[in-house]
Amino acid sequence: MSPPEGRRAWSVAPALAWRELRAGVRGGAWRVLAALAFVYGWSTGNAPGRGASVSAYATGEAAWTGLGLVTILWMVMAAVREAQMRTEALVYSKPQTTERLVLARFGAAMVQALLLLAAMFAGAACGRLSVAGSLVGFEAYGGQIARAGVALFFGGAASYCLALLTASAVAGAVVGLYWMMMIAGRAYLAKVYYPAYTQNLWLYLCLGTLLVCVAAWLHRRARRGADRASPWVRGVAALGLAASAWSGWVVLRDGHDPQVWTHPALERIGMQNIVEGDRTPGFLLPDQHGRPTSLSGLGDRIFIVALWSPRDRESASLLARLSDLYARYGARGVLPVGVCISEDSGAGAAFARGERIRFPMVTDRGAYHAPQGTESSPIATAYQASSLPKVVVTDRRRRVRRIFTGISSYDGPWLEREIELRLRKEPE
Amino acid sequence: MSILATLLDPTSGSARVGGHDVRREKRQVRELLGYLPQDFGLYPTLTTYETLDYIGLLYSMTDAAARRRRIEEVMERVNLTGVASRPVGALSGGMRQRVGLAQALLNEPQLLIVDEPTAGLDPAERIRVRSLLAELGGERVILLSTHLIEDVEAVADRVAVLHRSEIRFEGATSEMLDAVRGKVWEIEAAPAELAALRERHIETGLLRAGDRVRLRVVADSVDHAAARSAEPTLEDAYIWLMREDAGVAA
Repeated sequence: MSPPEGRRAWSVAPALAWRELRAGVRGGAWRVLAALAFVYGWSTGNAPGRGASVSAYATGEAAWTGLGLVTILWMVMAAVREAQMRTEALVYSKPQTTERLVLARFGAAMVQALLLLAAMFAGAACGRLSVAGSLVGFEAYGGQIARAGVALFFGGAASYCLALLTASAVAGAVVGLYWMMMIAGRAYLAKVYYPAYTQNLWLYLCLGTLLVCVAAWLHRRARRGADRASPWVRGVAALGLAASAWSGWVVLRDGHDPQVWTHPALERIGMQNIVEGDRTPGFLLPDQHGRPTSLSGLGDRIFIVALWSPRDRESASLLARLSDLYARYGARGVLPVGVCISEDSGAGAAFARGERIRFPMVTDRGAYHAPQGTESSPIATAYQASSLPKVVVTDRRRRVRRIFTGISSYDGPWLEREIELRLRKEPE
Repeated sequence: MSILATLLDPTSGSARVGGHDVRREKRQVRELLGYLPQDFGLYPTLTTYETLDYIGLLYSMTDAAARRRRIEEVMERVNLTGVASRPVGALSGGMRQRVGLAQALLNEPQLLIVDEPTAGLDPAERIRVRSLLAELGGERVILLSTHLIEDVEAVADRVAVLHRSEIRFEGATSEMLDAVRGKVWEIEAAPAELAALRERHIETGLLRAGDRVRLRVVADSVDHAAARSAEPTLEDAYIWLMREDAGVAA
């Protein structure tokens, strides 16, 4: 019986992965985990609000941290399962290549983990539906699934590879320790170490792919002596290495993390100071579409500069209010500008999508991690925003006319009254 | 066994299967052989059919229809058709062993390597597996490793006796029997004589016969009035080949 070559041989890997997947999801352990993930998703995602972005963001955060640990353990077990179940002799005495086996098994275990992620987000969507009665901004879940999915992929790839190459569950579990340090060390660790941040996704996606290729390569050597690895393994490993190096450089170049790199433009933003009557501190940051945005570039309008953070659910409720104000006064030259203070460069865009925001939403991902996002954000420093939300109303020459700090300060008609006053003094 | 199955590289020397070197031509060797290890696991949640389907893919059988036909043939052959849709985790030890045998036969191997195939099975299942191997032996070369002489008697045409990496005997089973012919004795004695007889001779069996015992020994000659020559078995021949380790003078 001669083995298939070329394209037909490639069909074996997905076919093997599909059978591995079926075997995995039939197991009691996976079903229990899926049920728990659904319940966990329900409890984190049943957030109120106009759109689904708060629910999606909270679920994304819970997914990459909590489910990340579960994924690491799941992948470790998948890597050492062969030895535990004593299937090695049967499997490796067959003509199939080691790389295809590794790829099929990793793929199947990873898909099982991603199905748990899907179960968690399904729970979140149901929870949200039960609280809000609608799924407005449902697409916000998509971005968060992608973000958490990449983090799970990286954690899963690293733990699977370590466990596979050392044939030890303990070695694989070291990645779990790294994960816990990452979660616990948010106050002091550099942002580059976090695979779930939008700005780091490409880096960790490439690193994960590289790790899988290296594992396939080394596992082949362990199984088959010094044979050369398949050309696709060598090719993808080389590409993964190059892509990882490039992504790592981009992360460092664009970041502003004193533990890694500093960014002169962000430092200049942080050196400004807000004073009533003076021009409001300026900034040049990407909006939800990735366009560099500054107040000066938005024309002679009355600005409502609103600083908020996705970490703070109450401050996120400000977004619905800003949307209402834009709908009411936008035609008369009033423009809200949301400033999202988050370590994740994609948070502002995710909320803009989920809350159907039409006005500019820039994100300041800050200088470093801190217990409070405002402690490391250059804009929060310039606007003296020690607590969020903070709302600043300017005149058409961008001079500060009114500052509101905290929800209670603008609750009721105060914000509208200030805008009406500005419009009377400076009609369009 | 592991070296021939390409799971281990030889530290020295060489081995060829069907003309292919086990170190340099692993893939070609794997295509020729079916291997049933002594200690193996199966995915407990997959059914018998799904397990064989998975193994079929490992043999690179990409044509689904041809794979299905071959699996059905093999299941029929090893009498597993009735449990095709049962998860292998729910099968008895004997059935699992037959699944192991079925997976080794999927690629119609020229060489079938089976390592202790009847170990741990109940007598009925042991006979079934042994008969199956005897049947399969007519079609291909079977390399059987076993500690059970009944397996060898049922299956083997040629035997090699290995002891501490040294070949003590290699040849046809009839030649192995010839090697011990005239050296097998049965001695009917009183139980009180047993200890002395055991010290002088290599025991291969003992039967009770009323208040006396019938001791079976292998030796060049036996100095006992009640000793008479007996027909040798492979077990006697094996013990005779191992006599240097028995610790008594033959």
